[in-house]
Order: sequence, then C-alpha cells, then structure tokens
Amino acid sequence: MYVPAAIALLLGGCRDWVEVPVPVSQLSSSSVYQDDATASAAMAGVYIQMMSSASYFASGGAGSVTVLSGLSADELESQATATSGVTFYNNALDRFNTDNARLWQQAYKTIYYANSVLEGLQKSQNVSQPVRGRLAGEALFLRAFCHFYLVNLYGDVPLVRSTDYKQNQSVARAPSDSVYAQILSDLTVAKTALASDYSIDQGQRIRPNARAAAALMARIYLYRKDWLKAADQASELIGAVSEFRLTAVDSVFLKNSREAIWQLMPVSPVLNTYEGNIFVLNAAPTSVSLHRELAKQFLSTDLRNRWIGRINAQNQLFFFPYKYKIRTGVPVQEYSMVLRLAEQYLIRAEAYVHLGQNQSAVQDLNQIRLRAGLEPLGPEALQLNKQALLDSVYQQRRLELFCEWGHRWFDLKRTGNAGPKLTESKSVRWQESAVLYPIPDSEIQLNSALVQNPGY
Amino acid sequence: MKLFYCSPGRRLLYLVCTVFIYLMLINSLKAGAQPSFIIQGKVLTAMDEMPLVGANIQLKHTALGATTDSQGAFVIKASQSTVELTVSFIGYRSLDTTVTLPLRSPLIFVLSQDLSLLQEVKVSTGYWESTRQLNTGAISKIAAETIQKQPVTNVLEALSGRMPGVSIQQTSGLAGAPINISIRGQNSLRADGNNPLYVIDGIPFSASIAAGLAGELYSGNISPLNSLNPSDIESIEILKDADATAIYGSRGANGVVLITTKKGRQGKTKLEVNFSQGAGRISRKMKVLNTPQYLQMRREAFANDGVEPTLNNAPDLLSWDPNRYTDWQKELVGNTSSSTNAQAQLSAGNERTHFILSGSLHRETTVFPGNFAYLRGAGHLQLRHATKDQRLKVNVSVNYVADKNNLMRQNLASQALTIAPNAPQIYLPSGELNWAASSWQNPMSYLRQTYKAVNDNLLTSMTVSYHLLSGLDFKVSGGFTTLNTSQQTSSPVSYFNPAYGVKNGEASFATALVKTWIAEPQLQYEKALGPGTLSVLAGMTFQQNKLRNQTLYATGYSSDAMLGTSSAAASVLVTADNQSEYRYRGIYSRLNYNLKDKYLLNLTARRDGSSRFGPNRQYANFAAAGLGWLFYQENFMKEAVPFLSFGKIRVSYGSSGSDQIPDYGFLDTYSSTAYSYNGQKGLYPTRLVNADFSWEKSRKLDIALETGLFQDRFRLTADWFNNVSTGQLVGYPLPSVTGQSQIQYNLPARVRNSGWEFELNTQYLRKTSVQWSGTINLTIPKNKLIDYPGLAGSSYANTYAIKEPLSIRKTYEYVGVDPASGTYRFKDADNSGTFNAIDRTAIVFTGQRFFGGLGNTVRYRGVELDFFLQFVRQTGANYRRDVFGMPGAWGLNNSNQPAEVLDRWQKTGDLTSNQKFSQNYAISNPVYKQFTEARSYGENSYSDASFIRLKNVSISWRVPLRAGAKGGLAGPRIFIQAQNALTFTRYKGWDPEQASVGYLPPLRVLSAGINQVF
Repeated sequence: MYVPAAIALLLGGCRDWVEVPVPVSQLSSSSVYQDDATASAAMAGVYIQMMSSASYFASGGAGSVTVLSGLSADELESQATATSGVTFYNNALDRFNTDNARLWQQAYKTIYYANSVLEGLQKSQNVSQPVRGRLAGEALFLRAFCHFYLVNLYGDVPLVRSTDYKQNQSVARAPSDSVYAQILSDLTVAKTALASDYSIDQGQRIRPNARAAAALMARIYLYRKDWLKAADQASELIGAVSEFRLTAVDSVFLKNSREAIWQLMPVSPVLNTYEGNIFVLNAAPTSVSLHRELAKQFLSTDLRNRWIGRINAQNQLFFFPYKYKIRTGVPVQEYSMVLRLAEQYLIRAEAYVHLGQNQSAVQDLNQIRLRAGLEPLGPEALQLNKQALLDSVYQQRRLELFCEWGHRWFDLKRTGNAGPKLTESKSVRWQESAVLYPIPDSEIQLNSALVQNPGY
Repeated sequence: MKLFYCSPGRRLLYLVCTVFIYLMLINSLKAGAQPSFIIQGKVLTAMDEMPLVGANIQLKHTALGATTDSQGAFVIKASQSTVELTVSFIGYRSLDTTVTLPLRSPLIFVLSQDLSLLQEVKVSTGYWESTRQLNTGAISKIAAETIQKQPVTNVLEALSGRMPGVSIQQTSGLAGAPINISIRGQNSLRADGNNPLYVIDGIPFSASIAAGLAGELYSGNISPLNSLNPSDIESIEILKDADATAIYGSRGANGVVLITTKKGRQGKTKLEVNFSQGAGRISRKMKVLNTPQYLQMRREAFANDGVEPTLNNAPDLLSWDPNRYTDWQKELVGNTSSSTNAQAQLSAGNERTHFILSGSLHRETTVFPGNFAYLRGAGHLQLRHATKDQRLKVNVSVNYVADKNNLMRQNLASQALTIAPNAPQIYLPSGELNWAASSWQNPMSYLRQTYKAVNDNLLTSMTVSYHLLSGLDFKVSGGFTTLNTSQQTSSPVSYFNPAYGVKNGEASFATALVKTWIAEPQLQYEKALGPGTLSVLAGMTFQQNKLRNQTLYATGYSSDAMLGTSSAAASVLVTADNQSEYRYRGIYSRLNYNLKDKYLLNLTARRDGSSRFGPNRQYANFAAAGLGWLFYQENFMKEAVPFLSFGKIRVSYGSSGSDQIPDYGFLDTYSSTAYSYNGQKGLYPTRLVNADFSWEKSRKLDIALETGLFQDRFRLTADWFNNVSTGQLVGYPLPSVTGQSQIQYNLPARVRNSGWEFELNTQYLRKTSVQWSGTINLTIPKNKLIDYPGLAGSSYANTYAIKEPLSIRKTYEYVGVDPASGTYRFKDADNSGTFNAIDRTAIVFTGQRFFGGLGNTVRYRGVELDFFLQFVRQTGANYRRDVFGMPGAWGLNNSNQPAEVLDRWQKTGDLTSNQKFSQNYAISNPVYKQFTEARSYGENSYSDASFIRLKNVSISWRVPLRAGAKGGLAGPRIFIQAQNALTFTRYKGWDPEQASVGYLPPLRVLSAGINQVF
C-alpha cells in the first residue's frame, strides 16, 4: 500500500529526467526543412550516397550498373578469380548473388532518400519557393532515374512513391508499363520545376536539371518505341547549342565537359572517378578488362581508339576502357558521366530511321562518326534498308557508349538480340531468362508479395 | 609506458583515493590504541591441522573481531576481562566459547567442516543479501576457487557448463573474442536483444560497445568483460527468476550477472603472489583434403563438366606444383600460444578497516604466425571502513584495467581450411612474399594488415551506509565508470599484391569513450513483527551513460612506417563522430517477511523510466512475488523423513523488462554524411521512425524444490521455469525497398521459454583426511513462439513458425543425392519445378536440446584433483552452410574442402552423401544450383553438433613445509590446469561449440603455476 504512494511521491517531481535532447550529430527532420541551406544539404546527401562507395549502383565502380551490366553484355571480361563477376559475365546469376542484391538495395535506397526530401518539403512551409521547386525537381528526377534502371534490370518492379514502410514492406511488383508511366510523370514535373541551365553550381553540371530530364525522357521514349517524342526530346538538347556540343574525343569525360548533360562528382578524397579506378590498368587486370571482341570493333582510324587502353602483362595483351584516364589520386579532373549529348544524337538517329526520315538519321549518325574521325556516311547510306541503317546506329551506340551505364546490355535486350549476340561474342550457355536479373533472395524472404523472375 | 598512462582527471581521482585511504588508516590506528587485553591464537582445520586462512573471530555483542592470517593466526584487542567468542568460517561448524582474560597461552581453535552449513552460504541479488536457506529466488553462484582453477582470459568462459540454465558460447578461440551468454533461453527475436544485465560491484556495465572498427576476426564486438581480471573476482551470481530480477525492472528480462570483486578481510597483513604460465593450441583440427585428394577432386570436376582447365580457372592444376603439400591449419593457426599470468595481492584489516590491493599482468600470444598478443594489466583496490560505533560504514572499490590487443585485421582461420593444399610456397628464396603470378592472395600478407585495440577501463564504486535508528539504515551507493577504447586498422602497401600497383597505404582509427554514473539512495528497515521478521527496502536509481565515438579514415600514406598516425596521411576523413546519451531512473521496493525461518514471503516492485522510449512511453512497472516453505523444519517431516536434512519449496512469479535497443530509436532525425558534394556536406535520414514502441515485458514463473539428504551429503535442486515474453522489441527486418533494413517495433508475438534445471551436489567422502565431492547439472530448455498474429504477412514469415522454437531453420527436405544425375535432391513440396519458400517444409531445430556439466573434486591432505565435463546436445550448421565454396571449383584462397566431400557421386547408381564435383559457378549448372540451394536452405546443411568436452582438469598441491620452518610460513601451492582438454563430437565442422565453421576453435590450454601466501 505504501509502495504506490511512495512511487507517486518520488516520481512526481522530475518527470523529464529521462527525456534526452537530440544528439549533436543528428538534426531533427522537421528542422532540416526549416531553411534552404539544410534542405539543400538533404538533397546533396542523396548524391553523396550514390557516390560514396564503388559498390553502389550509380558509382561507376565494381558494384555499379556500368560494370555489372558491362559484364552481362559483351563489354567487359571478368578477370577476377572471385566468383561474382564471373557469374555476371557468364549470364549465370543466382538469386543469392550479393552484388545483384546491392544493386537493388542501393537503387531503392536512393529512391527512399529522394522520397524523404519530397515529403520533407511537403510538410514544411519555410523553404523558399525557388529552392523548394528545384529540390523537388531533383528528387523526382532521381526517383525516376532509379526506377528506370530497376525496370530495365529486373522487369516489373515495386513502385515506391513514399517512405511509408508499412506500405512498402509488402509492396508487389508493378507492371513495367505503370512503372514507366510513373517515371514519365515524375520527369515531366521535374522538367518544369528545374532550371534549364547550370547556374546553380556555377556551370558545373553536377545536378540534374530540366535538360537532364529531357535527355532521360528521350531515352525512355526510344525504349518505349515512341519515336516522335524521342526525337522531340533529343532535339531539345541538340538544339541547345549554347549549352552543349560534341567535344574532342579527349575532353568528353573531363569535368564540366561541354558534352555533359549530367555528371556525378566524385566524393572520395583519394580518387577521381570509380570508373577510372577500376578500369585503368597498370598491371595485369585483377577484376575486369575490356572485352577483346569489342576492342576489335574499332577501325584503326577511329579516334575513339584513344578510349581503349592496352597493356602487356604476364605475356598477354589486355585491353581496358580508357575513357577516364585517371586511376587514382587527386586533384579531381574527371567527373562520372551519366548523360551526354552523343547519346541524344544516336537516340534521334534511331528514331528518325523508324520514322522513315533516313536523311535526318544519317545526318545525326554522321555527327558521331565525324567526331570520331570516321568518314561520314555518303548518300548511298540513304538507300540502305531500315534494318541495315538501324544496325549502323546500334554499332555506333556500341562504340560510342561502351562501359557507360549499361547501354549495351539494355540495347541488346530491347532489340531482342541478347541471346544471339552474346552466344556469338562470348560463347556462354545462354538461357533466355538471363535477360532479367533475379530478385535478390533476401528481398523475397522479407516480402512474400514479391515473385521471382523465371529461371531462378 | 602506455599501460600506466592516465589522464589528469584520473590522476586526481587516484590522489583523492590515496589521501582517503591514508586518512582512514591513520584514523583506525588511533582508534585501536586503547584496549588493555590481547587475545591471541590460531585456527586450524580438523582435517589436516593446517592453518585456516580467513576464519572469523568475533567478540559477541561488540564490533570487535579479526580474521586469521596466512598462518591461521589472529590477534584481537579487547577491553573487558570476560569475552564471548564466535569462531566461524564458511562451510565449517562455528565454535562459541567464553574466555577469561588475560590469557595464559595462545588459543587454538580446531574447526571441522560442516556440510550442513552449506545452506548458510550467502547469496546476493545486488540489492539485498540472503542465504541459500532463506532465499526465495533462482540464483546460481560460482566462487573464486572455481574461477581460479580455469586458465581463462574472459571470466565468462569459466562459467561454461557450470550453472544450470546458463548457456555460454565462446565465439572464437582468440583472446578477447566475445562470449555469448543466454540465461534461460532466447527471449527476444532480436539476436542482439538477449544480453543479460551485467552488474559489477553494484554498477551496471555496458555489455557491448561498438567503437566502429571490429576486426573481422571476431564475429561480433569485443567483450568489455575482458577488462576484468578473473582473479580479482570473488564471486559471480546469476539471477534467473522473477523474484531475483524484478528489482532490476526494465533490465532484468534476460537475467542478471552479478560480479563481485574481492574484498579485504580482517587479519594481519597478507601478501599473496601467484604466477602461472600456460601454452595453448587449437583444440580441434578439421580434416581437409590433402594434395592427391584435392587434385583428384579438381580434375574430376573438370571431367564432370566436360571443360578443359585454363590458367584462369585452374592455376592449381596448371601452374602450381602438384607435389607440394602444405597443412595450412598447421601453417596459419598451428602455433602454440603462450600465456603468462602474474599477480600480487596485499590485504589487511582490523575490526574497522579492511583493504585489499592487487595488481596483475596477463599476456597471451596467439596461434597465428606473427607477433600478435593480448596484454592486460589490472589494478584492484577495495577498502572498507566503519566508525567505532559501527554506525557509519564506507566501502570504496576501484578497478582499473588497461588492455591491448594486437591482431591482424582479417580472419585467417577460415583460410586455413580453404587454401589449396598444393598452393605455392609462402616466401621466395629472396625472403619476399610469393605472389605466384597473382594466382593467390598470399595468406601471410594478411599478417601485415593489422588490427590494434587499446582499452582503458576504470570502474569505481562507493557505498556509504548509516545506521539511523534501531533496525533502520540509510545507504547510498554510487558508481562511476569510464571506458576508453581506441582501435586502429592499417593496410600497408606491402599487404597488397604488387601487381595491383597500390602505392599508398591506408589506416582507420576509431575511438570511443563511454562514461557512466549511477546513484542509488536507499532505506532499509528490519523489525521483529509478530512471530517473524519483517525487512523492508526502498530506493531509487539514477543513471546516465554518455558515449562518444569517432572514426577516421586516413589515406595516401607515403610510408608504411607511419601508418600509426593520422597526421602522416595525405587525406583524413571523419567518417563518424557521434555522441549519445542514455538516461535511466527507477524506484524500487522490497518487502520480506520471514516467519520462524519456515515460511518466507518476498515482494518486489519497480517502476522504471528510460530515455530510449518516446514521449509518454518512457515508464513501466514491474513486480514479483516469491514464496518459500522450508518444509524440513516441520515436525511431521522430521518424523516422516528423518534423513531429510534440508527441504524447501520456492515459487516465484513476476515480471521484468528489457530496454536493450539503440538510443534515440524513436527520434525522426537526419545525420551528416562523411563526404561532401561540391563542398557541401550532406544530410541523410537516420532511420525509419516508429515513435510508439514501448517496453518489452517478460513474465516469469519459477517453481523449485531444494533438498538435502543424509546431512546434506546429497543436495538436489530442481527448478521448473516458464517465462513468457510479450511486446517483443525488435529491429523488425524490412525489405530494402523500404530504404532501411529495419525499424524499431513491438511485435505482437509471445515467446515462451520453459524448462527444467537440475543440480545435484554430492559429498561422496567427507572424512577429515580425504574428501570427494561431485556436482552434476542438467538443463532441458524449451523455446516456443506461442503466437504471432499476422506472422504470415510479416517479414518473419519465412523465418519463424507458430508453436516452434525461435532457433528453427526452415529448409528443403533433403531426399539424397540423385543416383542418376549426381546432384542433391530436395522435396518439391508444391511440385512447381522451382524451389521457393513454399518448399521449405523441413524444420530444423538448431538450439540446444539439453546441456550441463559434471565435475568431481578429490582432496587428500594438501592435494586437490578436480575435473569438469561439459556436455551439450544440439544441432548446428555444418560445413555445407559456410566458408567452403562448391566442391571442385576454384576460388581465390578458397578451394579446398573438408574430407567429407570425398563421399561424392561419381557414376550413375552411386549412393553418396555429397553430390558430384563441379567447377562451374553458373546457375545454369545444376550442380551449382543445388549447391546454392543446399547452402542456403538445405536440410543437409545442418547436422548433429553435440559434444562432450573435458572442460577443465586441475591438480594442485600445497607443499608442506618442514615443521619449525621460519615464521610458520605456509607452503606454496603448485598447480597444473588444463582447459578444453578433450572434445568428443561427431560434428561435421571445426568446432561444435560455435557450430559455425569459419572461426578459430577454443584453445586447449595447459597451464602451470605457483601460489604463495606470505
């Protein structure tokens, strides 16, 4: 009887003893979106996350789309005795593969960060209008960008538009059509919200702007076979001559290159790009090297031979992607290219072929050929049939965009050529189910609503 | 010397302590200068007439008394001319006598052992003391003498197998590796939520600290309990049931480990020195393939696949010497470790002031090649003082431990199993590492990647009590601890294969500082009430923990020699810098009524608040009731069962809780990124937030029967317990689609831990010259997930099952190796042709079915022989689950296999336990596909991991000194001890205790030493 009385007496006094202040190393979410500076820092956090480890999907390093899809296609050879790279190369992934799981995880982590920024902005009244618009635009762009890679790597994927874990923990795979619809809707909003120049970072092209949205939309329309819209969006970029031009082969991948539509800035204190770090060889390769078949595709007069490195080691000749020249060390002179003008020419060329406008198509293709020091295609090219013309576009895509963000892998898949081309170039035992990566087993274990892709 | 470095704050503390001790000594000497009579004498054992050290001589009705010294002698100064003396010693029959002063000759008391008095052994719950007889809770106790028989680094290892209901698992044979302890089963679904509360001299101690750079050698964090010198420990008590743990309220759900350090005793100044030297080797080797077997496996794999070996996938076949053989276990983990232990202990005390001061050094090397060692220096001071009228009592204890662990960064243990037996020689004739054209990662290169952890640990506590009125005492106890950890890993250029062209080394640094203080004021009241005695206790607790940790990543070193300092790095990045604070308070009360030493009632209650919960969720109430009936005191029992010397039934029921979750879990915050983007530091959301989680509660029921038969020659205790925990606080795992891997959450699940515990202590022989005693304990635990609404839709759907234990694994039912195709076959439950969660119908129970220990001690005059067997019946993951690659395939430093794989399919019709060899890691390869399925979810990846281990054997001999030796010095004690001496098991892996393959097995340690009391 005295016990409850004593309790009441003794605890009445200092109820807040067990309430601790927010630790100095953390900032409450509501205060993050109380002013422009911290809200921008939350956005910067998303880019930093994307670039903070070579094993993340957007990094360009060992665990990135660039490297892993490069192995799945015929761009890279696996030189590692570790097994994961070999299974990507052999198109023999299993659902327990940890690199594959990390691809998935990091893409969704980026989406989660982007959604947190969107929700933070929604709840707050104190971020100024221009900053609010820009940050929301960037977040929407990144959400679309990640969904784009997910839908292309895995097929139908969960569509995640909020940070609500109660809903997201049991989300099922959405049909790719609705994923694309959401991507396009996000990009459309982003495009209107974002500026079309690079003044935000004093000319540095390190955040997606309205141009980047247009560039990604052009690619999506192309993938979705909406040729007119693809050409339209690409024209927007090609027409913006004051912002973009095809630069000399050697300066394409430098920081703030005039060809860049969006580059990610390296954040590691000891490196330039992760691409340079993994690709450039100064000894026999230990992880990846450029596929021999690809190296053979370049004519000797092609200036893009400068994008291929060669090294003799252990009595063998190895090739390596040499778009980025700096393997390690600072100062930073190269940024990681995400979107660039050359792709837009190739998108428009392909769209024009499908629209029957062969002359325009050849003109665009010739822009790429000329920059590479190749002969422009003459009038006889106009007489080529559609497939032949398309093939020459695809070939230029292969040569121009190799080892950048999985272009080759996606091109092979969307043109239905993965099986025939890959069995030819790297003698793998091809199974058609390999066009889609497996949903990581750990995800399915935690979310019973997810269904595995066939073949795994 | 780094060991004795101390911060200014600590120096001040030492100074204060020193002055304090000095003043007290002076004061006590003055106070003792008045009496006029001297009582002098000796206490001897009846058994062998050896001096009894530490016996108590008390003058009745006074505070005067003394403790015998190393020669059994004592001196008391008294002022009256007739005194009543009580001579007592634990486990011996007390003597009461009246003497008239002055004495004509010194007194000689001979005490005989009285085993019925074992029930008088004190047990403590931290808040109150009781005896085995009168205690109403489930408490197991282990004393210093059992700890000292075992050459262990971490004191928890010494408990292994010795206490019913307590399961101890050493996670690695490395000094300093964490020890998993579970008391009465797994309550929480969270793997890290089952730690008991550790209390050292009344001060709660954080059981795990994450400084940020755990070396990969350990499966988890370093155990901070390493920072306790086992020989400074007087006793360890484990509190198990509600009666004993409810007073710890929110922190008692997983049991309480109460550690009490040694205290000074009354008596002359006594110096005890102890030195021992030990040698250790891994207790078990795993049988792996030798070179001919290995090469045959590899060739067979290529033949099975119809593939020609190339330099890329078979350097072992094409470029390595097929005649080389290296036993990599011998090479990499086969050294003999050496351990040295030295300790000196000084103690003295008169009736008012006692102290003990000890210092020790422990050094232990590893079984790895290279110069790695664990070094620990510890100092312990304990001081008690009472005023002349015994009203005011002060007790101060200070423990300081500095330890340093030098190791390599990566786990070499698993590579010792998996490197091909014909791998090239380690060193070139020039003495440089042999990289064999990048065909392997030279294992010795890992020795250059170092890991260093330095800990400074200071634990201080002080208790002041004052006798206010008759029966009423006021007591304040307080404590302050700091733990300072710094860790460092480094990757020098020389670690890397030169072919990689690495030019600059790098290093990481982590520091963590944990400061804890606690204050507990309390009132105690004791009064005869009616026919019995009432004791009441009420008190409060205030506690605060502050943690600061920082990690640095330093790169661009131009010289490997300077990796120890971040200032030589070209670039230093602060990758983490966190501060956190934990606050806790509680109010507690105990009410105990003892009716004629026959009927006992014990009520406890506590209300707790913790800062780890969000607003309005911070407080919770806990309570328990314990009942005891000493039925052997009843006359009818005495008549009916005359051979019954002790009998008690105790029952307890109550609740305790758990707040073992990270700080700030309810706060919706952003944290700062380590890197910056275009000069701007970023922010990212720290966690997904659920502000509404609250206390986890565990309701515990314990029913026990304690008996003593034939004058306590047999003492049997049987406990049945049934604990149900609800509101499971978990880091609920989330799919990564949500952006985070977990969220703090109260699960609607109920988990039951029930079981039987038996302990039988027997005195086979208790003659004065020969004594032989034995102990057996057995625990049969049962764990069950009682219910979990919504389990099927949760992320645990594929992990747990209703009515099954938490430690199950859902696996594919194993059919066997298909005699036609030579691959594993599992039962396709839904006949879908693919394997998924639906097919995981075979439930494997990986927990312990029963465990216990059996020990015997024989004493004959000065010789004592002791052995202890530990036994565990369990199922665990075998070699198919972990570490090894696909049998037949090539991997960097990972292609050898256990010898078991030789029983493999070779041709149609073969009936084998392993599928055929293959070398192609492709999902299109059915052998690889089945390998991955078996590894992840195969029933055949689990097998029996039961074992019987001769945990400890020790022999000691007290060398008798010839009569008349100078000063009556007792002879030295010489001892030989062996830990983990023998293991019997059918486990298909390295060591069954861990039941996982990749970590170093516990070491078999043989140690010899000498102990001398001056």
